[in-house]
Amino acid sequence: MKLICIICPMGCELKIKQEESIKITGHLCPRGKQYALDEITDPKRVYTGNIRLQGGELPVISYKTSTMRKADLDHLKQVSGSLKLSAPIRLGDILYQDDKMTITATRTIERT
Amino acid sequence: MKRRLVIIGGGPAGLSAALEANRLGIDDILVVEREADLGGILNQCIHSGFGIHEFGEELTGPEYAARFIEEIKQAPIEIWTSASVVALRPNKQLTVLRHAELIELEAEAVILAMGCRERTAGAISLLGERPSGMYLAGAAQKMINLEGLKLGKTALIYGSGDIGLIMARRLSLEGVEVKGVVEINPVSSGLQRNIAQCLNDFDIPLFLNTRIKQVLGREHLEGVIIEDLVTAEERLIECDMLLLSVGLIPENDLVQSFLPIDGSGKIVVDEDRESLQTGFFACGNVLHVHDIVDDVSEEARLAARGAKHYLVGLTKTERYKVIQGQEVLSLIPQRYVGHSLFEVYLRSKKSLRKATIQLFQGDTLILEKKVPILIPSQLYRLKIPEGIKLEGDITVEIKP
Repeated sequence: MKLICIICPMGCELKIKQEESIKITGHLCPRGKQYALDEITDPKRVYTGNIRLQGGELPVISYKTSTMRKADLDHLKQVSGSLKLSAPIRLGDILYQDDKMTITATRTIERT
Repeated sequence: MKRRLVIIGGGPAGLSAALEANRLGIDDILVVEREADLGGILNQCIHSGFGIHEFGEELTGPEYAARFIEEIKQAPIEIWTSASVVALRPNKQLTVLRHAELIELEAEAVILAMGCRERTAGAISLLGERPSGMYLAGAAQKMINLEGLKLGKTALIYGSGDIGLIMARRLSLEGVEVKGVVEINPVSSGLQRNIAQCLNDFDIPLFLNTRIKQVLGREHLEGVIIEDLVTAEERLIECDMLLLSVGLIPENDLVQSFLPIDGSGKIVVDEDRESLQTGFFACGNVLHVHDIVDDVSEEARLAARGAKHYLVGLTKTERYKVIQGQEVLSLIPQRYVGHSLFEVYLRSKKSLRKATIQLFQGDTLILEKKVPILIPSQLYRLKIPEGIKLEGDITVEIKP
């Protein structure tokens, strides 16, 4: 199996051989190897997006998640669509947290 | 009003240039920013992937901008936001529109950091009307990410550069059905990892060697007809949104009348990013469109150092040409002085595996560098190593 590593902009082409043990080649750094292992067992991602916000200079606040399971994306969509937030919010504020993910604000939005 | 250094643009290039200029001891620095906020394009790039070189960690666009903005607020650097440079003259006099007032400035040195803008639908030929529902990808990114707007339910994206790919993922996460990304070339011009994480992750098809032939709908977009350029097969794709991501152009209109521009539309600069009109420097996307913001921050520091040298009165000896040879799509700088070590940034015309980059002085080969891979969409930085004495015009060539 072939994969493109998404960890950094290098875009290494990883080759994965699954015989008695798993063999990974093509990575230029150890993070690529870990990425390939995760990809074939339980893929992980950092997602970014927006959540609606009341009373701020902007109507939305941008967020990023902790590294989370790709399988939990629908859970993220459900949570980010239903959170009720209001300004002010500071860069780095934790907007939501459970055992699957942490959602953190990636900018500051002042109250209008 | 007199100023030592005026930096036009408060995006990644302008912010980095201002901080470096301050660090080098230039006093009286003014940054003029058109928008209400500093940060430029980074503010709408809410995705992650910035800062790996600059900070050793992966940040989102707003976070990357915030690192510079925090620092700049602590520094003795004057910032004018919601201020637009409406005229810039060869003698470094500027007219700035700020708070409905025109202000005349006289700068000793100017750093151009105005970024780039998107190519429009007019730049490519599309049959059909111009119904609502057609957006430039970057403009759509701003509407969705900063204004929180919903633009449609089903989308098609034209152009597979990084902005197109990132918008495909962004729309998918917003619940829009993305029917595909259409690319006229046989390969995507985006980063490989964006194909993986933006398209493959969301099962979005990439139609290579394909063009959009016709736009359907009068009032609002109803669909597009795409044509496979190899098989000539046509297909109707129904969608209510079409995003155009068909390239970026340096926004160098302010200086086009008096700064020399090369054949590919780039301001001609030397390794200090100084134009052929002394005291004018350029960095970031106003000079050439970068793939990675970290490279912009770094290039801006070169321009700031150049400005420092100029302001303390160091004069340059003759500037020689860096000539674009075979298989080279574009390069920066197009001139060099050779007073210090520098890099030549280049892009190849074709995607090549195991290529050799050669540097000639006249007919003499003075440097040869083997590289495993060269892709037009990825800037290659050729370091001129210490010990190589350059003199006279040099030519850069790529041998497949």
